[in-house]
Amino acid sequence: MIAALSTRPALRAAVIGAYILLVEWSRAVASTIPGAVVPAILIGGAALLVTAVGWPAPQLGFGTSRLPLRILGGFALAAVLLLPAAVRASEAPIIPASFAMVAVIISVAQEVAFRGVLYAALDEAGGAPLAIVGSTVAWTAAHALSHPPAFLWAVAAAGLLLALWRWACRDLVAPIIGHVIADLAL
Amino acid sequence: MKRPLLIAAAASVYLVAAWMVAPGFYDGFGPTQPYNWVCPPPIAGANSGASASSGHLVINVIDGTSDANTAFTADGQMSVSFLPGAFQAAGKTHVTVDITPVSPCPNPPDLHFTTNVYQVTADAPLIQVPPTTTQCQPACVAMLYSNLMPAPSFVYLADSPNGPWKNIGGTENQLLVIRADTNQLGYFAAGYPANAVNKNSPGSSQLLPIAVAVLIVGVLIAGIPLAILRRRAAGNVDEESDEEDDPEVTPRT
Repeated sequence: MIAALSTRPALRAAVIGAYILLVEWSRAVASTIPGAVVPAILIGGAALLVTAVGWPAPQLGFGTSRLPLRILGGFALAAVLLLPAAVRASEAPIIPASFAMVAVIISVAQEVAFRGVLYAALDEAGGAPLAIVGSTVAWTAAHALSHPPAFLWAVAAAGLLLALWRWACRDLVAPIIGHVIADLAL
Repeated sequence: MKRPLLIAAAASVYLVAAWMVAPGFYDGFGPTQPYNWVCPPPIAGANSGASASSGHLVINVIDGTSDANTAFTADGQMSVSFLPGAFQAAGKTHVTVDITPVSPCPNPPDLHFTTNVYQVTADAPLIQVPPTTTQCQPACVAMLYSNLMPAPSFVYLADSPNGPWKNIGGTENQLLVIRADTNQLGYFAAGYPANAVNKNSPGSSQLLPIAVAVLIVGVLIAGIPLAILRRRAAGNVDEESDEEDDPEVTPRT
């Protein structure tokens, strides 16, 4: 099985995608249990980060070259992600301060899983177009259980933006920074 | 230039998509709390839920002292608990309590309600003791709220749906539930002053626009020098190269 996964990129990408969706959906279901939200996020975040084991950091988009640009890009992405909510600040739900740390954990884990590992696996299997579209579809599907359907267009558009940045800049640092800031704010 | 344009186009698509559903990129930390709205806010969208429920309770009275009991709506969104002897029930054998969601929804100009408004009635008055803050003396209300909305700061009480609304405090011992003690029944809602900020995140309603403005200004201020430096560096190699406009932060191989 492991040999098949290592020699067949498409199969590996499919298994990774299925695993990530299973984790995210399980987390969404577990979060419905009173008092289980934080443990579900922590366990789910750890389960997502496990996917990064064995992948070279540069292939996931990590690196320190031109770090100021990466950080600046993260701020720019955060500004774009938060702009609609900032214009209508009174309508924005506010996360409790106690959720700040778990917000950081799950944001990083999701970026590593979707724009890092899944993107890299799909890129190997079918190139950048498949990686961009595939990671965006998986990202949107992962939110299907936790968000009203009306939200999913915005979720998909955010996923597409982050995936395009990942492709265009070969960078995961900026999506992580942007995602973390957005989740901390909302 | 193609890649920056694609990113700009994706950003534009996101802004349009996010604008159609407030607040936009709300990643959330679990399923949105189901809430049965009387007047669904725009953000509720398809999550409006079923109709808000009412509640009914009959409390036994023995030797003029009412039993302890809790009245709650069928959907659990609103409950009122009573300590023993909470009612002035001399001569009665029971006290009847009703909870009814109020429609049309009161919308006082100086308050933002983040829950339904409920009318709580009983056929006996509560005993008149100063309400405590945490001991449910003589009665206490607990109101569920949706995590789609800003967390309420207080529970408000009024004799009429038109107000005036009185702040009776609010504590949160359970996630997404705000409670307050009361020595009076009437109309209850949870929310916050229109000119105030959310207690869970002080200053948040003003902070978010400021934070985004700071991000934008910071990106512009820091980005322009970085772009100039990069353009100069790229220009030394090939001024007309397409590479110089590429935003790629990692070196191409």
